[in-house]
Amino acid sequence: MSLPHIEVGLAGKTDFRRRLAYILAASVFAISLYITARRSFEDVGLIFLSAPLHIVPDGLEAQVKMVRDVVPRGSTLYFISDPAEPWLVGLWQRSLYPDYIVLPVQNFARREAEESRKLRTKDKVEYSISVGNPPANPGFQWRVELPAYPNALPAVLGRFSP
Amino acid sequence: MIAASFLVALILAYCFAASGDLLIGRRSGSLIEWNQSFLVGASATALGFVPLSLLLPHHALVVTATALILIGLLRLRTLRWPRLEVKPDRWSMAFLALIVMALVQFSIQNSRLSYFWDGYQIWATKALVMHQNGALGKEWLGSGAFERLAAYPHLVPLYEALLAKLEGGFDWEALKPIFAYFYLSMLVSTFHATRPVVSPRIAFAVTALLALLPAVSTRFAVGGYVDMPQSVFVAATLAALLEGGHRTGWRAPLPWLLGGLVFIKNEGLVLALVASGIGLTGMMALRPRREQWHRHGGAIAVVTAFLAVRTLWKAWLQMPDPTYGPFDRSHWERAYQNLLTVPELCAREMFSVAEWSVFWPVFFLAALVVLLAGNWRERGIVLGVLAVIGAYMSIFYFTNWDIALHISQAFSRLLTQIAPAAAVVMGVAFARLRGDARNAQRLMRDPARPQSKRPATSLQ
Repeated sequence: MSLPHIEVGLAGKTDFRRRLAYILAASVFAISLYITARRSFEDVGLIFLSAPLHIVPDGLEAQVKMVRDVVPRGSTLYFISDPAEPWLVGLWQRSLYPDYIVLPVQNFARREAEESRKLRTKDKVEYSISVGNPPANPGFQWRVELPAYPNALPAVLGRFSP
Repeated sequence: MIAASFLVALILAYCFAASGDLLIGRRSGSLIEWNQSFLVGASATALGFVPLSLLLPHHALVVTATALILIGLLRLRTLRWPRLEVKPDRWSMAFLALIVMALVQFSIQNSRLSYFWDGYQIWATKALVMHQNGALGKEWLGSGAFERLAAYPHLVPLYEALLAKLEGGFDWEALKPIFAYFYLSMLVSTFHATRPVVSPRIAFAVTALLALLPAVSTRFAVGGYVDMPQSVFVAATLAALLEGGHRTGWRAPLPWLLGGLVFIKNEGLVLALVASGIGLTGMMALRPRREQWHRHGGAIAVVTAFLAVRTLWKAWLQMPDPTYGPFDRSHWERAYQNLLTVPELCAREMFSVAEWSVFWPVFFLAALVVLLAGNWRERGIVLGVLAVIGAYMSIFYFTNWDIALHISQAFSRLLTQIAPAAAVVMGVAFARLRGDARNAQRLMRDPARPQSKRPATSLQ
């Protein structure tokens, strides 16, 4: 059942092969230990000093609470940002799921009023979260600033004119 | 809070193991058996969850959780605690100490660091949607933009969703303990895979070498990504392939582990096809062939069921992934233009000392040694790893992303999946270079050899 056993270049010289094997193995382990130790020292700073404990920042939790207090459950909201903020929109989508649907839109403020009204009607959107520096105002009837938190872009919650 | 989550995740792992035991008809006694049953149970649960989601669209998760707990409770009557039958020598103890240190650092990083991108935006989110809907489905946050993610495999998110269900609510951070168990499972599975071909001391060394790799033990592995769990199933499948043994047919662990590959990540299909190729080639080499087909027919049916369920589920969802292809003229032209760029960029990731130390250069040297001096099964492992590396590199020729960006973000993670198999190759190469080939080859030619004849230092 077994295929022919090939021992090209490896037959004989057992002592030499044994020594070579041990030297290679010891070298590989020594290098690996060094790389791992160096990486561990780097990681200690990251995990104990700068890494956040929670995936959703406390500041965003406060913003989410404010949106929940104002916007009726079951609503669909736009998330307006230019340029796109994929990580932030992901945080909003997941924080408001399943009570709200959050749809990311870009260049919304630059659209013609009629075009944006049609889009809002199609998506049944009354409210929007706008994020940027400063946040875009695509013609809100009213808007309220969401509480700021460190390293976050300014954000507002706005309601479109009917 | 974290301690409670660790405990609930452990209870679930036990329930998976109990269902795995039930499926393959045994009472696990050693740590290696417990680990294998855990993976078999998780794999079978993931398979059954697909039809269950269609039958009970809002209650599949509750039914699955209830069934698992019932099986776990029933199994308590005949519970055998995991044995650690280890009498390691001095060197093995040193390697074991390194392995334990790696496990501790992984657990600390895993609990202290939050998710990275895909860990949160894809995998844990899949668990959130599953937890909310009570089953698998077409929905994805109702966003309309990323619904293709609903078609991603579900084994790891299922474990997360079951954990959230048992804890009584969905808490992102409380899901992380499952990755510590997968990491432990990866180490045990790698030891298990190495043990049939080399001495216990080398098996400990190989496992320690794997655990020392930053790419395997930090970064994405602690960020909620599922590449490390995928590597667990690669190691376990390899272990089952090498172990042989008297179990054949549908009650053997191998088909369940091999099938489980397709329910973790999309690339699992490539891994499953390569593993099936190795298994079938080995089977075809045996005579009489008709008897072999009859003997392994049940196992082939199980693997076919996994592949069919995964394929049909994706077809039913009708959510094509725009990341790659289609294989049209423009993509082929782009591939030709980047003929050398892709291997160059992949090599840069592969030979990154900060992530991989000297692991992959040493693997290629080891592969050469094993191809020259190994037996047919060992050569099969080498060819399998090389085939997967080739396949993983090739897919970047057809990416719709910027090639350099995609390779820098993904290739190292893809390599993580096959790192245990590459580590096994290194162990074999060391043994062959050292000159202790004969004993191992006798063992390989007689896989059904009673395990009691193995050295007492085994974890088995």
